Amino acid sequence: MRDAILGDLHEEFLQDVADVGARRARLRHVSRTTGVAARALFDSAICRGWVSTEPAGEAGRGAVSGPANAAAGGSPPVVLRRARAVVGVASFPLLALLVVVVGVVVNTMMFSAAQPQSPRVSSAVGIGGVALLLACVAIAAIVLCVGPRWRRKRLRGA
Amino acid sequence: MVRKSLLGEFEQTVMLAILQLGDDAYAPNIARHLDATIDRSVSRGALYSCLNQLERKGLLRWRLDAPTPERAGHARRFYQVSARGVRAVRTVRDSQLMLWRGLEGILGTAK
Repeated sequence: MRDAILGDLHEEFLQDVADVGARRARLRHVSRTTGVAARALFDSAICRGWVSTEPAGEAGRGAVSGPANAAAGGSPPVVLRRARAVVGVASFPLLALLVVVVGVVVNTMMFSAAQPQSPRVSSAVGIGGVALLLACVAIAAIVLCVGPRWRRKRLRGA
Repeated sequence: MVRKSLLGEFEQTVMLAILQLGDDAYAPNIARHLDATIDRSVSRGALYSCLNQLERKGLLRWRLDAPTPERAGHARRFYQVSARGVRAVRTVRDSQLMLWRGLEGILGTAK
């Protein structure tokens, strides 16, 4: 899966460079890559890791298979299992961090965009930015508090 | 027997796109096809997650192409709908057709 995703991202980047130029292509590439990483992280947090089944034409269609994963990802199943466990534990703090980082980045962008405008607009944007940042911190706190408990519950139920 | 709740709305859309693309169904093409046909811009994260879920449910199968330089040596992963997947899509279509029936007076005829 990882190999195919990397190839897809590379292919789309090259196509975007030809279509819309290097600058926009780079932006799209970053947006796509971030989206995929965030979603993979989220899926891992809710115990829905991206694992591969056997390719078509081989036995065990639809069944999750260790050797198939190893072939697709290039790592032995034990290492994969350990990596998944580590990612699973670390995913909620990472998600929370991601939310805060996004809040800080958007906040900074809003401030720098409002700089040359009137003081009124600047202060309105400032208040909005702070509110956004607070909201992001609150969401991150909720993710940190509720996430691991929910994950444990789900693992126990599985 | 395929459960009727087996497919979500996005999953149905992706399955139909894969069926329409035939042998050319790999992730970027699926996204492009959805954008071109139903004007639906799909986030790559959501698409890969959905493909993974469908794979887990045994509704999709895949094969790898030979790696190419324009993909930095990474192989393409082509998807095809499994027999179980076709049954699931058919079940969803049949149940939806039952619900659509008799609504022409309110919704008008399909384009």
